[in-house]
Amino acid sequence: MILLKIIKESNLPQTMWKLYDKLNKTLSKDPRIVDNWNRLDQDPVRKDMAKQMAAELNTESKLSKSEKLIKGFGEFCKKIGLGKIGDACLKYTQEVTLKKSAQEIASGVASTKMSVSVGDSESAKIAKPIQKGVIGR
Amino acid sequence: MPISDPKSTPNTLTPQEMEVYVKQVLVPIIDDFTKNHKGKQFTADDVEAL
Repeated sequence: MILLKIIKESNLPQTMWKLYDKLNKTLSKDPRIVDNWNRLDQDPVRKDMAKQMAAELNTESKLSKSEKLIKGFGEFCKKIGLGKIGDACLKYTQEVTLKKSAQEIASGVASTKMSVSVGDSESAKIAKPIQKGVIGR
Repeated sequence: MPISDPKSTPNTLTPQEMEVYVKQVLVPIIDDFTKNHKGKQFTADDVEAL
């Protein structure tokens, strides 16, 4: 595999090796993706995205750090021409966000529910219970 | 003249396969990465190394 050779020859850290290796194994079915992945002209894009991502990761937001990274990875993939993986990453992030919003709405609704106490109404208090054998007396 | 259908390329991953890849491969790797970075500041090198 050309990609594996490139990775082995470069001094990539182990974590990067893991991600690239798994990506390569999973996506090597599609030669167009392998051709696009790890091209030298992607380096400036990767560096730019890494800077932006680091800045985003260090700021608080509704998205968790993992979600931010998946979203960033998706955007990076789209920028380098891997639209399908990019879309899958962005779809995953959207689904997580929607799920969270739905949970927030549901918990909001649950906390604003009024408690209703069921007691005797005025008419029920006045009315006397009908007893067997005393009707009409 | 034979008619070729570009959609029927057997080596092309489907969007569903991509989604499975994201959930089963990418998310666990990224989750591990963020767990190991808990409480630390992220640098561009950290992200690039992922």
